[in-house]
Amino acid sequence: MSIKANANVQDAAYTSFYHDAFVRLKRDKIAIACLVFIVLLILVAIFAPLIAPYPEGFQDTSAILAGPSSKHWLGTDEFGRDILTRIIYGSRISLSVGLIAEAIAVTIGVFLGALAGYYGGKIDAVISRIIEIFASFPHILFAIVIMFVLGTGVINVFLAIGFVGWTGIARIIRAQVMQLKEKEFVEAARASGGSDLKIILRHLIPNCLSTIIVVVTMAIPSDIMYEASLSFLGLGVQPPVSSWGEMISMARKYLRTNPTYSVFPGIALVLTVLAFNLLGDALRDALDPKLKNL
Amino acid sequence: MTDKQPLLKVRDLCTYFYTEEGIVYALDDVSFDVARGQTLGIVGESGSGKSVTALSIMRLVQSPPGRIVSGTVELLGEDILKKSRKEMKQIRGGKIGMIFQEPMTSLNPVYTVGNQIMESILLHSDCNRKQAKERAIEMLRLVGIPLPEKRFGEYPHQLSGGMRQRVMIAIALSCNPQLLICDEPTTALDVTIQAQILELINDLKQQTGASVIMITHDLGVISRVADEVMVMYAGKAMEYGAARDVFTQPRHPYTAALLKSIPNLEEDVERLHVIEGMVPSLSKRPQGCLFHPRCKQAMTVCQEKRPALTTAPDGRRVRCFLHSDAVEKEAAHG
Amino acid sequence: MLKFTLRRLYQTIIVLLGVTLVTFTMVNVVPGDPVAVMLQKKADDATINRIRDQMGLNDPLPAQYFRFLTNAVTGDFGNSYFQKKPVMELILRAFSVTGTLAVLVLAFAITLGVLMGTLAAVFRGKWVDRVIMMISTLGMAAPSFWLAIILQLIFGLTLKWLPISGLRQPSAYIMPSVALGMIYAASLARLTRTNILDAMNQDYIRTARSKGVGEFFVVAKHAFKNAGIPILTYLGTLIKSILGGSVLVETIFSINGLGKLLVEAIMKRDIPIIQGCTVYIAAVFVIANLLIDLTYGLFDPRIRVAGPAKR
Repeated sequence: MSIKANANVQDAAYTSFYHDAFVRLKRDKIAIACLVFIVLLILVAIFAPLIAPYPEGFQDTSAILAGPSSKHWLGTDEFGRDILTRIIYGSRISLSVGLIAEAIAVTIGVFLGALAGYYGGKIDAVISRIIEIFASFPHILFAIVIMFVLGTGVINVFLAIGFVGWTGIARIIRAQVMQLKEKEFVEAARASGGSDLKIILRHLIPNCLSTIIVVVTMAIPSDIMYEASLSFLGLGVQPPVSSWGEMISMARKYLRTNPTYSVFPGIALVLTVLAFNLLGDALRDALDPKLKNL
Repeated sequence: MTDKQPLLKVRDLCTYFYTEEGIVYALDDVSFDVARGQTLGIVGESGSGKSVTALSIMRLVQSPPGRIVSGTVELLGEDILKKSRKEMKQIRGGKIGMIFQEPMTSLNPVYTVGNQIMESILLHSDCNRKQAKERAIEMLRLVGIPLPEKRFGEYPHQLSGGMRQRVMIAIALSCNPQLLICDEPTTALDVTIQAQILELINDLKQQTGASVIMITHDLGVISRVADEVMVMYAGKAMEYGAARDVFTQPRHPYTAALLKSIPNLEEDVERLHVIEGMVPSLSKRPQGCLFHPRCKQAMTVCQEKRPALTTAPDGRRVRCFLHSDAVEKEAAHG
Repeated sequence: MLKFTLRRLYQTIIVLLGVTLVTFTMVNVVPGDPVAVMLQKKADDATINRIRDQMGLNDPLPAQYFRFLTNAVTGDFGNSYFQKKPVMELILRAFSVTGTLAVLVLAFAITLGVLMGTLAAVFRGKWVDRVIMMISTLGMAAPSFWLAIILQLIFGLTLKWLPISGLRQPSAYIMPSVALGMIYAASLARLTRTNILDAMNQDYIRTARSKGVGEFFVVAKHAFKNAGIPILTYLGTLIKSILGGSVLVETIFSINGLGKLLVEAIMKRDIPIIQGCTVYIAAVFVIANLLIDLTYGLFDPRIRVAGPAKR
């Protein structure tokens, strides 16, 4: 009974905390602009067939490697495919990498981080070493090796990037759970006989939510970059599926004939990463300023 | 004539902070003198503007948002508010030394104690490094730090709070300043250490002939060291006079209330007097006397008009309508 | 201090062991027979099996791992399937190139980033700060491989100031270093700014000013050394990211470094090289991190004196 009351107090504290954070965020014009951009991008990705000027695979043989024109706003590639159309379809890959790969990373990271933080001692020592081991590989290099193991393809890109990105969040959650488990409401839950798993899932992880939101928003742009990098190296998404990284890689061969070919997918990439980065900064300032060195 | 000239003469000093919530009148029309070899105590609750006074004299008010709006701060007849940046650097640490409240954080953790004392000496004298080191060790000995040669090479985290405050005093006095500003020098320390530090400051004042401004919220501290005292409230001086007079016969209700709130061991009081209410927000000051919402003796006039600081024939100054006609009363009684 | 060093050393060894285990496991779960790949399907099953026996590929995996580990300790990662040379020799040759590039990138990123971050902190809220922050925000969003192509387009193809690929002349290092270093310079600028501003809010800065220390030394002496600690922490991650990022930049500029060696090995499924490169790069990072941890004391006496080092 008293636990329940306690939980309600906690809930009230949450709501006002998130409300305050939201008010702070609303005042940040840049953050709102980024949020609008991201929402628009998501709509573009979902409704790509309606928005794109041409069907995805359409080849205009009369315009191969053409520069921007009224017919092809951003020009065409080596097969006469419309670059704008491909960029629009490419947003699907970038956004789903951000979503799915990060979901994988968060699941692993939060789970292991919470275990290490909650139990401490030997379990913590083992998990901490595992984190350290996986964090010893440069992300992109590790993703390359995983792609080598799994083979190319969209799903494997998600798996590789998800599996690469979990160490950072695991560390942060571990530290936070360590602090939280000393708090009264956790003690109370434990005293009333709550199982460890229940305490972790019901009390500790929800309390880390603001941190998770910030870390995820800040990790999504890196995931998008890793996908682009893998596809750029020819180890990620395979043609004919459109990916910004793959487009830049192809464009590299035609720098002389159609220089703008390489520019536009890059701009799409930069704008997307920028929007997520700035939104992440704003969320961090609003929700969890302690993470300033992230 | 020159003998009568005070070391420091502050007139009509106003320091405001321009914040998003509005202008904060941190220091509003404050005037006082510090005579040579004397100690002026500035007392008040937190937010009364006493620290801003110190920072304004040093011209270290964080800007933006703070700005010294008007007034003069004359050190030996020269207005230091008109000095160039370069001249100001010579005055800070050279002519005026300063000690802060938090000995734990006021020393730079990544440099040795010796380095931090030497820095000041090297800036303000022609000493070479060797002489500066000797002087620094001498200063450490002077402030009563045992094994000064060893302490010289140690880092702040290796010292206790009291020792660190001694180091701060050593830094502040290393260049023989004429004025030492102590901003809550003992607040963060244990009671026994407090007494030692106050004694040390007093001793060194005698030895060097420097004047001292002692800023504190603790009337007990002031009563031990001050010759004169200024009571501040919400950025204004409320009462100003010789320390003994102010303590024995407070005229402003605020001073009286402050005195009552000192825990007194001799009197067996059941409950400590607490001044009810809070220091007003300095950006949304009340109409009339700034203290009237908390004043037990408030009159109608106090809600309407702001009293001026008036000087009684005995030289004491009070900002209160209860005493603004004091002149006449005194005259009538006399 | 000695205890700290020993503990870090022990942790480092555990992590290095883990690195070899993870790498070995990964490359050995790849479907497909490396020998068949190596012989490009020109041999019959009996020959393939004989070669597998020779190479020890028919041994149980734990035995293979143990052999790999004991050899790796002596710096022997086996021979390349295709280049018929010891992997270590190839790695060392490639690393001399990647290492040079990494040092240049690091120098570029630290110089530019710390300088810009300090300037931004000193001129907080002024236009200098805003411009620097805007550029670094953009810099953090531009992927190195795209930046490299844009640089090639501008300085190589259009202006013809710098060579587009290879490393035949010193000026050829400029574009790869800038392309790879920009993102790190940008994040270092932000990190430096945050930490200097943080330090500038501390009480000891007020003390320094009250001593008459000029604003330049307030920043350069008092704030900077304190702000240096988090920057030093970031250096480890930075080295790791640069080694990773060099994969992309080396591919673009046709630089024969570790990254290119690895990518080509992956295309050809040259397992010993993949294995060797991965372990080598991770080991470089782990050891660099160890060294960084041991140098904290230079910046932070609270760590240094914690042990019986001084006195």
